[in-house]
Amino acid sequence: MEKNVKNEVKEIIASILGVSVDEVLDDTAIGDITEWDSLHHIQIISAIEKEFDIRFTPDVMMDLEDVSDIVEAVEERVNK
Amino acid sequence: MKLNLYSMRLCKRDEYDKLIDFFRKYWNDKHVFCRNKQVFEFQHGTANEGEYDFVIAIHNETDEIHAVLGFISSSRYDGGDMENPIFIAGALWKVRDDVKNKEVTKLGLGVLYYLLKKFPNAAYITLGLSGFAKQIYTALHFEFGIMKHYYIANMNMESFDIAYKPAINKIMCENENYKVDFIESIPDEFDSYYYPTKNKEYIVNKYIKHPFYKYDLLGVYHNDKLCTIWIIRKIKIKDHICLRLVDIIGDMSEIENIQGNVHRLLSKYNAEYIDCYNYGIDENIFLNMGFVQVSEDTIIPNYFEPFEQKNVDIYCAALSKKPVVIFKGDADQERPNLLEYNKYN
Repeated sequence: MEKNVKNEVKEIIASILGVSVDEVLDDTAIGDITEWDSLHHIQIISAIEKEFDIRFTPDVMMDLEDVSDIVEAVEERVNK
Repeated sequence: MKLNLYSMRLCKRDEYDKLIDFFRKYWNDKHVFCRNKQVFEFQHGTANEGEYDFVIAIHNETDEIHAVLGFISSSRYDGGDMENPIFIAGALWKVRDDVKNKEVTKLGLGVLYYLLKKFPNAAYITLGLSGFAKQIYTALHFEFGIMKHYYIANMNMESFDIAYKPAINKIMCENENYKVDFIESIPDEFDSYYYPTKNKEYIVNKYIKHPFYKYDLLGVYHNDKLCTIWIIRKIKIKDHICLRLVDIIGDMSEIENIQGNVHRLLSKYNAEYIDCYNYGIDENIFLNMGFVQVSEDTIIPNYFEPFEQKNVDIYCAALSKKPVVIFKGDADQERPNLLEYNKYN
C-alpha cells in the first residue's frame, strides 16, 4: 500500500508534539500548537527525513513552516 | 518565517540601551557587554550607518526585544562589502522564556533563518555551542564537530602551574630548515590559504588593533620563505605564562618538526606551553610540526577569565559552500570577559 504522505506527516507531527492527530490540520504551522516550538520543529523535520529516507537542505528547511509546506516538500522528494 | 506579532531586523544604534537591557535581564547581568560598550562595539558594531550586527525580534505592540542573535562579520575587519561578507560567525543567541504567545516559540529558529537569508553567500560558522544550539545545527545538517586541541609544552619548565602533566615532545634541537620568529607586519597579498580567507587587513583590524588584548605575529619560515603566520596572545596568571595560538594564515602542510624552534620561543617568554584549537585541518599537519593532542591525562586550560584548570571541549558548526577551517579567534570565544574586575596583562 502506498504511503499517504499527508497522513504520515500529520501522524509524525502529532506524535512528536504529544497531541491528537485531529489537531494537526493542513495549515497548522510552527507556533500554532503550544508544543510546536523551534526545538520540536527540528525534531519533526528530522523524524520526517528518517521516515521517508530523504534529506532536506538547510535552504529548503527554512521554508518549511506549516503542514502543507512539509507535505509538499516530502512529496517532491518521494516521487522523484 | 511568517510573523504577525514580531518584526525581525538588525538592531539600530539608538536601540543599544534596549539591547543591553535584554542581555542584563535575560542572559547574564555580569556579561562583559553589560559592563563595557567598547567590547560590544568591537565585536558587533558595524560600519553601516545605524545598525549593529545583532538580529533582533521586536514585538510590534510593546516594542520590546524578545529574541536576539548576534553575529560577527568578516567585513567588519577585512574592509569587504558589509552586505556580502566572506563569513559570519554566530554569537549570543537567546529567546525570552517568560513570554507566552503564539509566535515566540518560533523566534529561536526565526532569528537564525533571518541571518542565513540575509547573507546567503557567506560561510556561517559558530563555536562554543550550547545543548539547544547543538540540536538545531545538527538537525539543520550543518557541518558539526568538536575542535581538536593541540599544544607544545616547554621542556625547560621545572614545574607547571597552568597546565597539568603536559607531555613533553623530546626532540629539542631546532630544525635548521625552519625558522620561527616574530614578524612586525604581514606582507601584502600574503596567501591566507585556509577558507574562509582572511586578508592582511582582517588580521590587523581584528588582532593587532584589538582595544584590550595584545597579539603578536609569529612567522614560520621554510628555507627562508615565509609559509605561515601565527597570531598568538600571551596570558599571564600570577607569574605563570602560556601562549594561545588563536588564528593562522598560510599553508602549514610542508612544515615538520619545529618543536625545537618553538621551544626557543617558549623559553624566551618563559611560557609553559603554546596551545591551539582547530577544526578542519588534518591533525597530521599539527602532529608533524611537533604538536601533541590534549589527552585525558593532561590539562591544557581554556578559561582564563577567571582561570579554571580544566580541559574544555569546544563544539563548532558551519554552513558553507566550501570546506571550512575554524580557529578559536574566529567567533566570540576570544574576547575579554573580566576587564576591570581583573586585568591579567
